[in-house]
Amino acid sequence: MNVIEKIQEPEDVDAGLAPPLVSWPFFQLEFEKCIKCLQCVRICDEVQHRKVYKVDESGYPVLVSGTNDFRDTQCNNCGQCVGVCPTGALKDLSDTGVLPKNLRQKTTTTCGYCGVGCAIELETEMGRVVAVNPSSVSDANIGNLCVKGRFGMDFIHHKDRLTTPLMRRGGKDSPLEPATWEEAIAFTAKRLNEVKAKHGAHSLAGLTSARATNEDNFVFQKMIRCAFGTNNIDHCARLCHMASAVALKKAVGSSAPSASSPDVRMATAFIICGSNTTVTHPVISSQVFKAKYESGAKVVVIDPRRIEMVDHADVWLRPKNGTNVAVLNGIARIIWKAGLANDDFIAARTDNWDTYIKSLEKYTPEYVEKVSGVPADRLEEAALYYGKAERGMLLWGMGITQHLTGVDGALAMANLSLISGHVGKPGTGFIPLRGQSNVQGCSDMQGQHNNLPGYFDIKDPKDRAMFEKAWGVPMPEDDFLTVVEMEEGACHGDIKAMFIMGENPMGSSPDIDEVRQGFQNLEFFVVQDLFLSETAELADVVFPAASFAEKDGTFTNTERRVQLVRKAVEPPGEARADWEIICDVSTAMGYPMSYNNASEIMDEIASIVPSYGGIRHDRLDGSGLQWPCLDTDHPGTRFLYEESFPTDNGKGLFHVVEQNDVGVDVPDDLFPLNLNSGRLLEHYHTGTMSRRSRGLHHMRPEGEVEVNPEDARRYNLEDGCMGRIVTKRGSIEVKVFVTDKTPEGAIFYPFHFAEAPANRLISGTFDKASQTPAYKRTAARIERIDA
Amino acid sequence: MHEGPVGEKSPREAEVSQNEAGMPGMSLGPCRLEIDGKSVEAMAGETILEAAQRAGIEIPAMCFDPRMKPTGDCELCSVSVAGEKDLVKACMVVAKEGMTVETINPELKTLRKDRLNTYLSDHNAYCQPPCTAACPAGIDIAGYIDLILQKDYAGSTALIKEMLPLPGVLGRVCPRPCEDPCRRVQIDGKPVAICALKRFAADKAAESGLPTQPEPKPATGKRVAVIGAGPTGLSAAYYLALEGHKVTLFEEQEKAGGMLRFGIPPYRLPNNVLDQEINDILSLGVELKTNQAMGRDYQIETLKDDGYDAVYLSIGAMAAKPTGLPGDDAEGVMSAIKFLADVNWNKTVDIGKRVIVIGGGFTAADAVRTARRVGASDVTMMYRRTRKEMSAAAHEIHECDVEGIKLELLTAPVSIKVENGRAVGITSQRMELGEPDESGRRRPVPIPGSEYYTPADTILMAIGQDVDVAALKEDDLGLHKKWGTIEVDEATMMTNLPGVFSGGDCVTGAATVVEGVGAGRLGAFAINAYLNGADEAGIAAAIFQHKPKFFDIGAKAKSLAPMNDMPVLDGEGRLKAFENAGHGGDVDNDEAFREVETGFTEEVALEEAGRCLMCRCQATGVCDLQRLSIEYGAGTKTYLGKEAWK
Repeated sequence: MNVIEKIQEPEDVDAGLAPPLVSWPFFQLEFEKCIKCLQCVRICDEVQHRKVYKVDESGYPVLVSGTNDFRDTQCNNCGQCVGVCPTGALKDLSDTGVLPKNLRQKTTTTCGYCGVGCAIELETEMGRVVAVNPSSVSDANIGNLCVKGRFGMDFIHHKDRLTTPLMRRGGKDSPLEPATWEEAIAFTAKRLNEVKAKHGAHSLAGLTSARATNEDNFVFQKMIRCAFGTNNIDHCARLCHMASAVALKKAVGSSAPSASSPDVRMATAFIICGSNTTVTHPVISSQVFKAKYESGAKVVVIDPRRIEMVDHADVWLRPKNGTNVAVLNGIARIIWKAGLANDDFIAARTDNWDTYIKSLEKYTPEYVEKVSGVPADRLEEAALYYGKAERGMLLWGMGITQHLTGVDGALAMANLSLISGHVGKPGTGFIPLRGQSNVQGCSDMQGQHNNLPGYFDIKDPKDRAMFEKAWGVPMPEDDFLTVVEMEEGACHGDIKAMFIMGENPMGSSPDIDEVRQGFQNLEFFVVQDLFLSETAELADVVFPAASFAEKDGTFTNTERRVQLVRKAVEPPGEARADWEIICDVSTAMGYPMSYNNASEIMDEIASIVPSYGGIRHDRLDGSGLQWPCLDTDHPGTRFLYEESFPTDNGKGLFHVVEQNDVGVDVPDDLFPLNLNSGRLLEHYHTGTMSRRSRGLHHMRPEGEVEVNPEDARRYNLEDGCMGRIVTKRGSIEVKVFVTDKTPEGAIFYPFHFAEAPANRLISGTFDKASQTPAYKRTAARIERIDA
Repeated sequence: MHEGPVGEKSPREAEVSQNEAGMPGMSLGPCRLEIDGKSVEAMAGETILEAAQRAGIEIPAMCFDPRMKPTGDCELCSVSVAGEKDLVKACMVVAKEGMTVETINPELKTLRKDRLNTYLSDHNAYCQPPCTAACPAGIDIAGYIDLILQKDYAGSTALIKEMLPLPGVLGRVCPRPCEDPCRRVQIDGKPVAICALKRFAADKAAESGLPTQPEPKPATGKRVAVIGAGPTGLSAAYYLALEGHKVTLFEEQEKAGGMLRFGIPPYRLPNNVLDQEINDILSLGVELKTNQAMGRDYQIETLKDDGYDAVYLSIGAMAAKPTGLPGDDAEGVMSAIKFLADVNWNKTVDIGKRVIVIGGGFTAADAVRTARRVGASDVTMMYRRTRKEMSAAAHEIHECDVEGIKLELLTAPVSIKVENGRAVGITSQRMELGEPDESGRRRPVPIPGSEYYTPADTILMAIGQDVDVAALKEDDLGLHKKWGTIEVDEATMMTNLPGVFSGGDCVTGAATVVEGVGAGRLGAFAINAYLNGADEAGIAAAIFQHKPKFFDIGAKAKSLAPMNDMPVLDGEGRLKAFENAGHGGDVDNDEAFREVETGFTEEVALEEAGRCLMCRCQATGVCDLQRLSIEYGAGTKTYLGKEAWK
């Protein structure tokens, strides 16, 4: 019997004693404490632009659904309302603290999830993170947070954290057993040196981590180059934005995003292409909303999926998968034909205009409509919004890059920026939105194709000489292998030993069955991680690493903003910061490295990488510093290319790109659907962190394949039934979600779920110029499984 | 080549200059204004509120957030601007060159207080519970009551055990200082039955067998000797063991428990409950050495040589205070504590039929009620003040009445009449209450010529206890003492001997069980900090206890149920059992010693838990409403608790 019900006297029930509104397990609104200030209603409406709250006749916030469950509304659990509540009415249910909030220790740091780089405040008690608050110190998020940043940090203290080194003492078939640091380091160094002696330095390879700090990454690549003696190093930017990096390097001389969050807030027109921004970069999306709803900015969304951003778009272009280039060229042509090309800018700041415009001739609206399915009038509307805008901004994500012609797509975006001159001024530019907390920094530290830290050229003897002088050993002068090439190399026997820091290729790489085969072939395999990931399970030695909350360092976000990561709690057990472990391994291999703290590593980075020349830990309070930051008096650089582009002649280069998406894996009779893989709001990458968060896991315990209602009817599927996705590579069994979010002829499945991994299905085909895999393009079919 | 350098511009400047262009009607460029006599620079388009905030001048506001359009709804940011007839809302008005702004004056104070009171009229909840602050162990009381409501009794008990490892024991014997200040009193005059709920949770958890203790941290290799296995020592051992230290408990008696075992009779605290909770503590790997007398079986000064890294002295205050009465050395006169110990250790006692107990505290109450259970039929409690001043709990006094015990109030002993070496009665004197003494209780003053004589077979003295200083071998040890108790640095709990800590009754003088348990936990934290290499400041920080600042509103209650009384064995049955009472000897199986309080049923417990106002809020300390209400004196402030917790 419910005692509360029994004793509740009807005359005593007023709104102030009504049952709470609940967003389990994240937060609830308790009316007893509510003072009807309506800050929650307003932030949800004015900043998040979601239909969640309304105000009842007595002035209390209630749900638009009329129920008590936030799930019945558009709420996506960002918790912005919790952060803004001036009393305790909105209660954080994930808060595990005991002390009053003002008596807890607080550490301002940078969120370890996506590339937005939100400042957060970790509340700690007795050495544990008990709550997360948004912090408004950084311009990156100006106090905003999403569900992952606010409620997804409980992975830090998850019971699965590795607390001691593990090693297989008796060869490949023996179990992973706890070991001391001395034993594990010595064993690792001995084995790596043995493989190097037997097969040569280039049989070794390493993957560094876009989730580790700049300091960790710098030390890691130094170990690979100096102790291993090879350039076989890569990281998962290869799998996401390498196509953007290659394209931008060609077009404007640098791979970097040109603009910043403040510019996003100021722009007057956006083209958002292949970026499910509210899901993958929620805090950036709220800044787009700010520009749109406070200053009337126009928003063009180009996406085959009916993503949430479509609801905020002034025009939505829904191209067939793989027709980005045609659509973008079509937009460029309309801008040009309408006389909206920025002639002064083109004349002064660009090259190759004439050749370029000739190539546009054929991309008439009618032609584009035929190729992409985008109606001509819509295309025109979109082009004019951007072309006429005072300040135009381009945002893109994996929908541009993860194709067979990812570089072409990114070049087409760059062309748009140049044609309209929407670059190099406040409120303009382009941001290929970075997916992980430190993808940008990881690239800066380790370089892209053939590059040394700071993008110095490994093939240029002058550049090499500089590093040889700094590090005291000869620099290997050949190219390195990319992620997928390393994995293939492991399969074929070219790569004999690998060291993977903070990466889980067994979830993130395409064709993971082959990846597994490769890792099992290795003579020696080291993984350094927070958890015993699917990849770590295959290793000979596993090192337990500290999470971002347990070490000092810096992340460089998607705006080139270098921000501090500060230690809030001790690592569990014997886990250590990545850089500390790497220094010990390198030293044991014969190339001594030692730093007293992460700040010293940044000092070394600053001495070598010019764009980081002025970065010092003690300068990074508040908003951090955006590179280029050339010296210790330099205030950092909010937006790039005000005067010139960092190309040989200082000019941006138009590139002719053609719609040419003739893949090997196009749909056919046997595999009639296009399988598109991507992300969900609640999960991050391969889920090693987010799936160990109670709340995030509660929201998304399993992956579901999105199927268009027409396809559902065609293949006899219904919402909630089990289906088998089959591709040429393999098959997985998952629950079906029937929705018009995905267009007819295409299915969408997220890649976060190891038990039913998307990447078992994805082929190892990739863009030739960047070697970014075509995760968005796999031919597939789906079959119903009867229970 | 590296990425080339490019132009720079202060982000703020660029954004502001854009704003300026986009928002007509704003003043152009930065300007200067005066706020509270201070010259402040405002950026273009900034409001008075933003300019003040940047200058570090707080203008209170409940509805301002830079991410949203200002509404001015809360009106708290109202300020007075020179030349303006009406007050203006600082969040709505753009700063102008030469403005003179006053952010605080009597009119604004009144306005803000009124606004906050309006908010508070909707705010039907409290910030911090006075019960937790009043609890010497600092238990999260609302927290465990909340878990009871969720029927998670093991979770509830585990939460209690974070602060106190003996929930079943304290659920029975705690003097419950938490219940006096309970805000439920404001609703219906009676507190939540906090203590009874604690017992309910603990009993239910024990019954379920579900785990209520965390796993100890990995072994540190450090060893700690805890001297005295009473409530303080047991508590210290528990928290030290959880920190991963190896603890040895040295106990002089044959069983652990201290005062809990021999000072509290089994009809209040059955031995099986005590044994179970002691076993739970020992299960963490705590070693118990019984029959170990300090000075005889081990030397405190050599413990360090024996491998102990720290020592915690928790020897209690077990020596009866001397009475100073003529004739108190006669046969038939004994300390109540000795009498209780004899009975509880199953010695048979013969105290005759007529027993007088001198005192009005817990020990006196235990002594009279125990006397009834070992054959005394004519039992009198003699106390020099009135019922109101008795330190025994009211429900205990009530039980004395039920059990047919006479209370002789306002009377004090003068001398004991001795015949043939044996006490035969007592001469007492009537008292009246005079001025309050330092304890706040009115001082009893003798009435001249009021002496009278009462015959008795046994006279039990329950006038307080002292630390058994003889056990400490003062001179050899060099341990500093003060007023007959062990002297410690209050901030660190360390004695003058390095690594030797002390707490509980032996430091404070005889106090309550819950104070002793609280001292044990703090002692454990002090020692843990010491073992981790903390200096004095670090140790002090490890045991610092924040005293919250209360603030009262006057909330409504969801439940209107009146307080539930603890069910007890019926008086008739008890009196019948006393008629057949023997002289002790097997208290665990003696019907007369059956536990009197029988505990809440689940239904009653859930109803009682539902009475809790849950006066705890996550936002405490960061809540704008709390901070501003305190600052502006808003709220009803009808807080009924004691000043001591303010």
